[in-house]
Amino acid sequence: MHCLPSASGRWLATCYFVLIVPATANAASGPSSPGFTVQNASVHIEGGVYLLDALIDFDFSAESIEAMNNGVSLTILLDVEILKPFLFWKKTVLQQQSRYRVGVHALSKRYVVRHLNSGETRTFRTVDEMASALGMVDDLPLFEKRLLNENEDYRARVRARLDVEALPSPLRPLAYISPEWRLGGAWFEWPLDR
Amino acid sequence: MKKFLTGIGPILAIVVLLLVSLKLMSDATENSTRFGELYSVLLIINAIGLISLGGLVGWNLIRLLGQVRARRAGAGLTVRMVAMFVILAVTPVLVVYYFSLQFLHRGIDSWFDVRVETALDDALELSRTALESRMRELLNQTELMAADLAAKPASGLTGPLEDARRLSGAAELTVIGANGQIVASSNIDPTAIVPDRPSDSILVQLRQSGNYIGLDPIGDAGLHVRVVVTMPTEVPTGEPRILQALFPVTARMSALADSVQSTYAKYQELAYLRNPLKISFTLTLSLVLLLSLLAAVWAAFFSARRMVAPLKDLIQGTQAVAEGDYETQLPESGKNEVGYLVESFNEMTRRLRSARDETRRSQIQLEEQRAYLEAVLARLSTGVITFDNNRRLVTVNHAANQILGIDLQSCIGMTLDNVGAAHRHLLPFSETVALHLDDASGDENFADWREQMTLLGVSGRQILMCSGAPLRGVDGEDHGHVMVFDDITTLIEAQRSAAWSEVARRLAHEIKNPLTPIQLSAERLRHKYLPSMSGKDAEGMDRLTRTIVQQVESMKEMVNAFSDYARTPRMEPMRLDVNSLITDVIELYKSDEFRQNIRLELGDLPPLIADPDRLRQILHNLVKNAIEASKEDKDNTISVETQCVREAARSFIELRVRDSGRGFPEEFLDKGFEPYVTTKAKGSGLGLAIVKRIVEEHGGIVWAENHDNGGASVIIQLPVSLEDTAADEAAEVRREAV
Repeated sequence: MHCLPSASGRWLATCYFVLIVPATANAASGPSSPGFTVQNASVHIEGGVYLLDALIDFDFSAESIEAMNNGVSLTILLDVEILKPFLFWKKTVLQQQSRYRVGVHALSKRYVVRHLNSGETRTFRTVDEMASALGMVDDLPLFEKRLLNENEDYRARVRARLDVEALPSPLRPLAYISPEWRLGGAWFEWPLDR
Repeated sequence: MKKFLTGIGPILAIVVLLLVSLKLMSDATENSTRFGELYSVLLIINAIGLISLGGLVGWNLIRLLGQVRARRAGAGLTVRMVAMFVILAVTPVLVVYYFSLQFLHRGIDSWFDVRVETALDDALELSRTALESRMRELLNQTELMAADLAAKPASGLTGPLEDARRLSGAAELTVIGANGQIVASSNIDPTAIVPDRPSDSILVQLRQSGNYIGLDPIGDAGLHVRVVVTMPTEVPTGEPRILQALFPVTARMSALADSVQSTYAKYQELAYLRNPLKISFTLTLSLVLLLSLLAAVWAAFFSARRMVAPLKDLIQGTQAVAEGDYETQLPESGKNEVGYLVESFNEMTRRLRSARDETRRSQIQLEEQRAYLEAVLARLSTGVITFDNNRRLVTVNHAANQILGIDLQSCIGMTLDNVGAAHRHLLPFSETVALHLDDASGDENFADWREQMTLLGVSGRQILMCSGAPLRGVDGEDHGHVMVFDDITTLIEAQRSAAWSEVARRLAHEIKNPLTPIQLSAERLRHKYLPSMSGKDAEGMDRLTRTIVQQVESMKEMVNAFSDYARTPRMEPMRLDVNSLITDVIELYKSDEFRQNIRLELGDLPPLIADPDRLRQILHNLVKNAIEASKEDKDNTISVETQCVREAARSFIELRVRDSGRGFPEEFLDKGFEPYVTTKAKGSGLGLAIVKRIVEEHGGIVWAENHDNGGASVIIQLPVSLEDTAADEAAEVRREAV
């Protein structure tokens, strides 16, 4: 599985979001406090597999960046769920989680992003570069098309969050109570268009 | 729920929880990885333990406060013991906690040393320096390769690129066009399809400085030196191409660099986490402390409750015994001092119960004996009364009620004087008995007393034979007095009547028989010798024989009177109006010279059941006596008065015949109603005796009184049946209503 975008995919995604993002109301205004916000997301089918394209704003807090610069690795989770509406509630039909570990390589002074699901590693010189690359999700394979019934309506939703449980244990009590470490974003939900 | 909260289960669970928590704490201290894994679990367990313990302690506290407020037995003692246990448990724990925190903080601080930090920085810098010389070489080498490859057309780059990579020892060589497209690439790994691309920031730096060199950790392949240079162009206007070379760092250097990097990173992370680590350890230690404290407090509650429980039972048991419940048996509480106390208490209640049962049995026996005695007393025709030392009535039998004519049962508890005051007709009785009780009180040698007394009771005149004795216990102590009495009225009257009848009969028989020959002889002497005598002899004969005949006639009358007294004709009682009878009798005296001086004062009387002839005889006797007594007085007045006297339990008709004579002699007042007692020269002495006898035959009483202003009265009281009176009154009311 390959989640980091290729150069062509990045261009396409950029064009896509330049065109699409103004049309989506909920992505127009970003949060003022640090956090991970899904600006937009969509899926398309390729080779019988649902692929996710998403634009996520990874706004790391100062504490989290300081922790990274001091050798602490952060784990970022990208949750994707397919929902089936039932009257007044929604049943989760499928769910997938992608995990990324970000940290600093002291010797090379580079930010390292490792996709734990695939093992792919990328390095960046700055946090912004890393956040930008991390936020462009192109063609992330989700699940096979046959797992969903074609005759039924589904909704998809995606969110990105910091895995507090993966932090070093001394940091966790602080992370539980400090808003600076509450970097989880809200769900971004849309009808699954096939 | 209550058993769960107060039983041994919770404390065991808490101890286990504490042990687990301490074990985890110990493991976490020894191994930080394991600490990381168990940290959340530890937190949750401790939180649950804290909440549970807090709830248990709170519940116990509320319960104890409720018991204190309700002043339950043992609550105060429990409070004191809990306070003592808590102080004993909490103080050392707090001291240990304080010093543990100090040691913990100092221990964590001791992990960090400026020299170690500097050495690690230096080692990292040294690694960078060592790599930088190599990197400069690789830059020069890459620039040379770029110059060589620049002349090659794009289509023919693959071969030269492969040769250059092999010769240079690079892991990957990539030529990238100006538009970002990969022109050619050569990789040491033939399976690698997609070459690694330089990031945008590298390209930016490349445009600025013409080359880029840097260390780059490439996935699992390890540390690489990335060199990016712009390839020279032969045509100035041609678009520049880029050559990127990735050189692997030698295995030895890579291992050393990784070691330095990882050690530095770990130390840096540890230094960054120093304060959070302190907070975390403090938090964990505080949780354990809180758990220990709450467990200690709960244990204090538990222990205090366990220790106080037998004492509480004892208090409640003592209260129960004080309230008379001897059935209380306390649960055993082991072989300790309290256990012996409980055992002694149980033994005490057993003995008390046994004593109470014995007392109850004795009481029942006593009651049975009392009932037996009462039954016997009730069957006795003799009246029995007992008094206590204060002369209060204690026991009265049925016969006593009947004889005295009142319900003495209702007088139980009253003193003798009060009984006499409440029932006036018993006053002579109570006074006489009181005199004997006075004699008996304080005299240890007083044995018994006996006395006959006369009462005018409900059923008329009564003669009681009373006897009494002090009630002395086996210890000789005086417990009161008992008296028994019999109504001997009938017996006495019968005896007296029989005696007088016998006397009268004998007198009549012995005297009357020779009287007739004496009279006949005297008359014969008179007839035979009187005509033949003359002068003084004849006169003497005439006077003597007349005297004999007259005296014999008198004696005959007297003997006839005796006969009348001795003869006891059968009573023929009937309902009669006494006033009417009196009026009839007084009418007979109309021709008498005293008629004008007889005054009648007749009150309203109920009908009397009596023999009218006998009553008439009484009236004749009394009126004659009164007339004779009043002859000597100038007032010469007699009066006959009647009234109905009602007392609490009796009702009687009182007839009073008053004269204006000189009155009775003092000695006559006592014996005037005995036969042959008279104040008249010619009286037989039987008039008032007959009156008394008739009165007694009707259940009445008669006595004589002298008046202060002269004259005397004879008073008769005849009892009237209350039932008859009530029936008559009701009948009268009905008649009036009709």
